[in-house]
Amino acid sequence: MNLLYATLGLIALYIYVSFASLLWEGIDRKLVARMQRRVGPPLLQPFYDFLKLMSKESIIPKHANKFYELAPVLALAVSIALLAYTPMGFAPLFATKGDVIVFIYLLTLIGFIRVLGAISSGSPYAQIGAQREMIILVSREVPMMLALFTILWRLNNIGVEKPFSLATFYQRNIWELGTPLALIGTFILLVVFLAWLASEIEVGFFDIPEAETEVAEGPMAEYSGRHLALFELSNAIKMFVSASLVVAIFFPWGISAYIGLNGTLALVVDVLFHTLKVFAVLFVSMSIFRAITGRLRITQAVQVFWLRLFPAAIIGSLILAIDLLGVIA
Amino acid sequence: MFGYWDALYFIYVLIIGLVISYILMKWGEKASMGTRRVGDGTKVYLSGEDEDEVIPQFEHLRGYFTGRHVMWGLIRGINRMFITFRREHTGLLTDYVAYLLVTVAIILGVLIIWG
Repeated sequence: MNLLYATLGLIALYIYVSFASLLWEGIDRKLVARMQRRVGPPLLQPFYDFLKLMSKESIIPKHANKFYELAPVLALAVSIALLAYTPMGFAPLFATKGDVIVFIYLLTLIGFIRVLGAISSGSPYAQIGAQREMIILVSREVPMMLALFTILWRLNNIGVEKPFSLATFYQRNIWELGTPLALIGTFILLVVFLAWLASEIEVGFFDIPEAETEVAEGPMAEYSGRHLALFELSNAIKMFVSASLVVAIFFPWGISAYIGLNGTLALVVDVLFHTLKVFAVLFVSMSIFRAITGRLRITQAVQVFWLRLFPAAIIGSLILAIDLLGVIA
Repeated sequence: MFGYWDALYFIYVLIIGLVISYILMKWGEKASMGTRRVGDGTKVYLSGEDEDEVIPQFEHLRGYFTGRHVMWGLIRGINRMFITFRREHTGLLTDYVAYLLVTVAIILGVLIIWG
């Protein structure tokens, strides 16, 4: 019976997140347009885009192989599976002992499927975009994983049941440590995570693979019609999910306990509040970031990851470790 | 790391995802204007490029079209990654290996001293 509820919950979550993430894209486009003194598209533009793309003809290039058509379905399937392991204001629906690893793996898998689909299209533009995507993929995961595992390791030391589980963040959170050193370390890791989030959704500095003006949408160059629509949807879900990770790590507080709710209503309230927090994080990491920065070259982006963010993650981790060792008290 | 059931649950969840996205795709197939498979003698790419021509500013890519050769594309991608690593810093891949070694050394040091 539990499995049945979890399954229904997953489907409900999928429908909700599809709407919420597409709505956020509309809000984001409107906000950025306002920041740039434009009027911007209507709030529901992403929905119109999605429906229109679904109804348009899909063009398959001559040199595309079978995987070209398979990739959008796989990408969306993986995003939906990812929702089962995403903390949404409560512990993930299919929470396990080691769901952090499944989470990161699935998040990377979406990018990898995009790369495979792009390469399968046989277009040189898509090929360039795919190469860039791969380069960014391997660069961005390293600082993020170092930061994530440091936080989990630190939480493990103040006593949690399952140190590799995303549900951990709802039991104890990193701000609870409270010592000045821990606060500084956590703040550095927060910056690393926000930069990682920006690169995960490829905005601002990290809009390199899709660089519209340069390589014509990069990996998505040959996709059209419903194939593109499915990719767009899976991208929107991925955006929401990645922001959810940041929210769960750094801002896990819910409000249902404070206003004395329980049962299903509490879950609903928590999801809504979680969505608000996700929007707030995305506002910083996506809208503002995208409005005030331009695209880097791929070599510069790699430099940012390996020479700025990775050392920052190491320093943050070291500060947390020093705090634990109690050398400076 | 995983129990037996957790792995099965993962497969279950992935199958749900596949079913949902397959249904969505099928719905798209029915509701849309269909699929056009581009055949011989037509322009192949939406981007408007003829595959035999050289792309402006990407001349160095001539001969690296992948098409059916996905594996080659992946290998090329990884190759590009190392080329970028090598070019971007003052020169050497060894720097990155050094970073990794230093990190491992620090972690080992912490483990030895504290653990």
